[in-house]
Amino acid sequence: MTIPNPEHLFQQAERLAESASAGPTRQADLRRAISSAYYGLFHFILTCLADEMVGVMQRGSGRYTLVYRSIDHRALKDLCLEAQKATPSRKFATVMPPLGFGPDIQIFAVKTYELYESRNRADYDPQPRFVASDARLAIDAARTARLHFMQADPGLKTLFLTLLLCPPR
Amino acid sequence: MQCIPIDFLSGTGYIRLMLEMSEVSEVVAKVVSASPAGPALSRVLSAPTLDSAGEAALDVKIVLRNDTLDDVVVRALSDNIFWIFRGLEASGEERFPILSYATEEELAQDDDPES
Repeated sequence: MTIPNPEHLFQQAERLAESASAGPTRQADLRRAISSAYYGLFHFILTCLADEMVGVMQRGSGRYTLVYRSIDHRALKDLCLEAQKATPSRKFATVMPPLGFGPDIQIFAVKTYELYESRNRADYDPQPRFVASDARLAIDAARTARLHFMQADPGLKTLFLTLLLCPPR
Repeated sequence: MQCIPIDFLSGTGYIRLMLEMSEVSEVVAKVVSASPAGPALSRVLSAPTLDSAGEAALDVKIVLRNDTLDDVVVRALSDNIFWIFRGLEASGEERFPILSYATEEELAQDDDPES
């Protein structure tokens, strides 16, 4: 099994965002850079989820792949919109801490939401014109979002991953 | 600030609060100015938009002075994302911002529209 390495996707994004020659970087490269930054973060959280629910030692198993593949982008975005709140909504009130997920996961959630929307525009919307600054910010936001999740309280991380797999009805 | 009833028929009296675009820009500029990215800030451009799900959102472009986007400013702007969310929320704004960035020079460029 070859799990995408988030840092490799961030480095790919950096290469795409750099102008290869004189003149501005191509829109196609800037759009792919923003997309790669988001995907680095997306694969990071999928790996965290499958490691937590199935186990690092089971990475080669079919069950690991099932859990890894079970999450779509919209599910992650929806949970991030909830997780960034200082106090949970009624739907999440019984399963979330009363004061929310705390600063690390809230920052992760806000940055992930921003990257989701930027990636959506970069991949599908012909209107925006992206510039190198957009790509640099997307790459930094993805890297730091990952760090915030990694340093968050272990119990809150597990709760976030559980809600990602099993959102309340 | 505009107050728009969005659930009038159900009688719940729910009101969606929306800042004027100049107020949105002011909140964002205040957050950026108070951070290490402050000296790099040139202006903030805000416009109403829709997010990927078709929900009302805010298109916010942070425009920077030329040659100011070093690693310290990039990191500060990245850290500002959270505080921009919180600043808008504290001002009563319910729409989420979708942030983009450009230097004045990048904003003035007119690239090939195809690539």
